[in-house]
Amino acid sequence: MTFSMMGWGGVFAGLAALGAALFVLQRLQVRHRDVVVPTTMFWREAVEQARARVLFQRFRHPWAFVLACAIAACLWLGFAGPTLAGVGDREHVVLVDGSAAAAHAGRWDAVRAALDRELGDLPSDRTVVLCGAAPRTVLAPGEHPALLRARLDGLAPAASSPAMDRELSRLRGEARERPLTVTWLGDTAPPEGVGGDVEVRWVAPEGAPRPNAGIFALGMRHAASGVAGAVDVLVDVGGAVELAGRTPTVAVDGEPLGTVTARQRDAEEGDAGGRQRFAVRDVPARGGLLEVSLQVGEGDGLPLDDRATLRLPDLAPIRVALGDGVPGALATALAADASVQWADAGGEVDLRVGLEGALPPGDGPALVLATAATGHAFVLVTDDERAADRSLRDAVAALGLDQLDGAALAEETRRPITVGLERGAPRELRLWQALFAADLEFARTRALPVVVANGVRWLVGRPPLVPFAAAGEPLLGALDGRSGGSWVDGEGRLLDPLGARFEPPTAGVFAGDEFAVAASLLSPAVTEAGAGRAMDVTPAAVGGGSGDVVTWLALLALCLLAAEWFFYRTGRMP
Amino acid sequence: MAAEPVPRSALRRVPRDELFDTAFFEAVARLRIVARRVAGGGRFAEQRSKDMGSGIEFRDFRAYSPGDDMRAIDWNIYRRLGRVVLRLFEELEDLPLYLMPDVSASMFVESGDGASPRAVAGLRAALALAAISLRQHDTVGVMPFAEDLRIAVRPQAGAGRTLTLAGHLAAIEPGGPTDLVRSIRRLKATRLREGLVAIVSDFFDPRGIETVLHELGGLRHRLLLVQLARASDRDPDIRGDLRLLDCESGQAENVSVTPAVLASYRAAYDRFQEQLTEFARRRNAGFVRIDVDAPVVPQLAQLFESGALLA
Repeated sequence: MTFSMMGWGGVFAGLAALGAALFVLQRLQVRHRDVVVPTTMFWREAVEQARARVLFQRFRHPWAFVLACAIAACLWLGFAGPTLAGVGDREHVVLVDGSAAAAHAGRWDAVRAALDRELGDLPSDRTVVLCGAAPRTVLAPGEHPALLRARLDGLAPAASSPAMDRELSRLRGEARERPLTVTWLGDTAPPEGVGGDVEVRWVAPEGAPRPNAGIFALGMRHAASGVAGAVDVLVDVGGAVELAGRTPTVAVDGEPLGTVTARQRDAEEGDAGGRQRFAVRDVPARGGLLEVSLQVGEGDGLPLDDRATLRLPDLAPIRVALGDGVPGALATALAADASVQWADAGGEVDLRVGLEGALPPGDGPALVLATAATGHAFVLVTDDERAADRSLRDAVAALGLDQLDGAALAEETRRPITVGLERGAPRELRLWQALFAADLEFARTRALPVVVANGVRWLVGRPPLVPFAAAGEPLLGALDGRSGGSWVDGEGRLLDPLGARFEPPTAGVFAGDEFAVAASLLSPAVTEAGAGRAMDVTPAAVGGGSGDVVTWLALLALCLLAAEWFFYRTGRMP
Repeated sequence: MAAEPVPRSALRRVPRDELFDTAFFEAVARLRIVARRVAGGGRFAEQRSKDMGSGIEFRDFRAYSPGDDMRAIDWNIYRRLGRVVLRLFEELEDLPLYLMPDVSASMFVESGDGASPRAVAGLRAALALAAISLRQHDTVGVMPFAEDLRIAVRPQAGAGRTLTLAGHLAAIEPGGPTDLVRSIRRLKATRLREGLVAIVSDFFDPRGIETVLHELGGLRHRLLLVQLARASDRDPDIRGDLRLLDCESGQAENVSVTPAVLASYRAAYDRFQEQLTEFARRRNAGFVRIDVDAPVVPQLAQLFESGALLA
């Protein structure tokens, strides 16, 4: 037996305290009834004889004390919340779907109702984990179910993809003393073949999700047509609601692409099961926010997946002013970059390239060739306020310098090849002019144009092309290699993954050190939750029901009270 | 812890009409007949004087000496034997009855269920015994006691004094706490002619029955112990957590009356009773236990017929 309100120590301490208190009350002077008698000499003698007995019989009304203690013990044990189904031979964890899949109309209430029923059959040492944006323990072992209701009242399903399978994987990987039974509470089916000593039982909430349709994939790529500064956008929609004739609308920064011709909005494929794919071609990429909306109409079970957003990269030409004396290899690499557009030195320029001391006029970012081959081979000047090591690390990755064969280059130049970081604005990339000497392998390596292209984009700070950003999915990062650094959510909370790949926890805007992303709810499991589920699943019985011990204790206390009243009324007990 | 005793003002003298009514006197008259028939001469005890006197009871013969009374010569023996002898007779004396009714406060306290105080039965028993003695031409004195002994009526004889004695008994005022030991000592100091001392009491002396009986043992009179008792003395009908107040001393005793305590109480009372009866047996004293809640005279008649009152 276990107790939900306290441990065994608290139970025994309470019983001892009650016993002591009742003992003291029993020993207190009671209010006597005065009776006049002819003489008290026989009573004195009788009391003396009674007083002379052993210690146990000196106690006044021992049976009354025992009865009072029994009543108090029943009430105290009832307060302690005992349950017969205590610690058993298996550990129990309940995974509750708190993702967008539970946000379907009426499903969250059904999930909570199913959870209430399950708790009644599970032992008191179960754990309940809500799998929403992040796994969250909402009921620890031994806690009373009433706490769970209070905690869930302040929660709602998150606009995130289901994370129960990842939590299940984590549980399976943990070392534990007892076999584990996982109660999978949600509309989406658990994975099969978990194996090991983990048993998974699926408990589906009553009823079924309403039919739903929505967007479950959104991504982009460089325009296949080759148009500079444009991207192609791919949208996948589907669900149980008929979408024939329904076409998602696309807008950039709120402006619908209404002027897009039919050529740019084609229905390419139609998969079985209600899925459709749309492609929007040659969308101008100027760093705006792309928004795709799908009008499902009445009967849509989940509005959350009817809208998706994606931050477009800024692929506008980079206006570069080239100074005199720039090595040919560098000029060639710049010319080969389709984004680079030569600009006159006196006009509007995004980037200045030139020798140290001979840069084209202007005060923007600059790629400077140091004439003296001293100090660091590469120096990055940035206004990034993060720690120097992180700034340097991200900058090196962004430039692709970590792809260079620094040893070979050092051997060629007979100098150590190092990278330095300086604080300052605007951004600058200073590198030895000697690196571009014709006799060095660096000028001929394929890394040179990559470094130059990455350097140009790092200098001008353009938002990169992030192919897609889905809630609950690892962010692949920009195609140019930038990872984005540290991330914060829309409320400014830091979501530092400590070196791991960043995963947007929910749909929303997340700002990194390098760029921002707009994550969307893109999950076939959420959009198509419950579709095709033929019947309600009857969960396997856990066995060893807890039993309502509290009720029996209360009844016992009531019977003892009645007995005490009876004895008191009949004069058998004082 | 002593509380206030029952105040004297709460104790009332029993009115004479209530104490000795017509039915009582008729019962006493019948009791005298029973006593006379049973006891032969009607005496409580045969009091045989050590003296040879002119009574009518023959005792012995003696040779004639010059100067003896010629009327005592037994001429039948002279004719048969030719010897001159005198017939000797007993000198019978009366047996004074010294009544010692207990008039302490406890005797006048009414019991909880509204029954009459013990003094009613006690005074009636005293008058009944007095009536018998007076009819036998014995002297009767009344010496009530409470905290001390006093002489209410000096020993007097006369069959017609019954009503007078009734008036004296009814006029006795309730006394204070019981001190039988002192009262017996006072009696000893009075140097009364040897007689029959009838103590009519419940014998609840706070000094203990042992002390009382020790003092009684030194008394040179004959003894008749009339114990006034009621059923609740041995089996009190009280339960629970009580503060028992002694009606005379005011002593309070906090008692949780449980079955165990009741058993101890009864054992203590039984010891008291046994000591009292054993004393009477050893002392060859008369002993009678009167139920105060029942008519007194029939109980005395029953005891007369059983011979229990004959010493």
